[in-house]
Amino acid sequence: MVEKVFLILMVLLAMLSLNTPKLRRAVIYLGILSLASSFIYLLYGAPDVAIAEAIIGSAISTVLYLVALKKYHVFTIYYTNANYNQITDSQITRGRAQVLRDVEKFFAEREMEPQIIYTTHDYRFVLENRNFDLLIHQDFDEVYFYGNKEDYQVDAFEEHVQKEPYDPLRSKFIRHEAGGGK
Amino acid sequence: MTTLNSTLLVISVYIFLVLIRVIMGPTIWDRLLGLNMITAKIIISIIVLAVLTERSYLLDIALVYSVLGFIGTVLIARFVERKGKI
Repeated sequence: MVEKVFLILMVLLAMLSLNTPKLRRAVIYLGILSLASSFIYLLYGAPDVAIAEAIIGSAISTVLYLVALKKYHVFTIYYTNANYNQITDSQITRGRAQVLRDVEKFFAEREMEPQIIYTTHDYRFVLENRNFDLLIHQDFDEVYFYGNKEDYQVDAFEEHVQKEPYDPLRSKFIRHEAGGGK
Repeated sequence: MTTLNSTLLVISVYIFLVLIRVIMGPTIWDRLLGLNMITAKIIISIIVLAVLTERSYLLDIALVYSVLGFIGTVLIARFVERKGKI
């Protein structure tokens, strides 16, 4: 009976950690999952396996997940421009803004993969309906950065923007609650 | 044996109650607190198991659990508090 309750708990936690929108939550769910699984090993009479699972599951793999979470991250950047009605290839290569080049350099130095998406949608539409880490909206000579509130890399980027403003352009940084599109 | 089963069942009901907070919790700190509470509940159920089946080596396992649960909680808390630096 008790075994069955804990097995149900494990299935529930495994599904939760697959479906979570934020990876930090998945680390916590996986910690509880490994605790429950090692208690089940105890109930089935395998205390040695239970000790190994407790050491590997809750100590080593938590550290491993956290380090991996810090190191690797595909960074989704949306770029909208007020005077783009439609986007062509030549516009992207020729009109490649100085801002975007600098953003790419910033993330390349930090060993991350920036994934830049050009869109003709209005920036308010992107803010409400898309899931992003950084939204760059250019309106002639004003640049707005909308950063995801819970992202650690965005913090570093905000400091960078405040240190070196893009000179002819006026830039402004706005923290934004995590996206609408999950 | 019925005492053991009923005690463990009550503790597992508590674990499910805490799990609601872990799933719903608006901030990461609620989830972390829930993780710590579930660790405590599982340690208690190991001790109950050890006492009622008279297997004293299970108490050593409870000791290992408590130390490792502490380390895991502290690491996640440091990670969130110091913004990605462990």
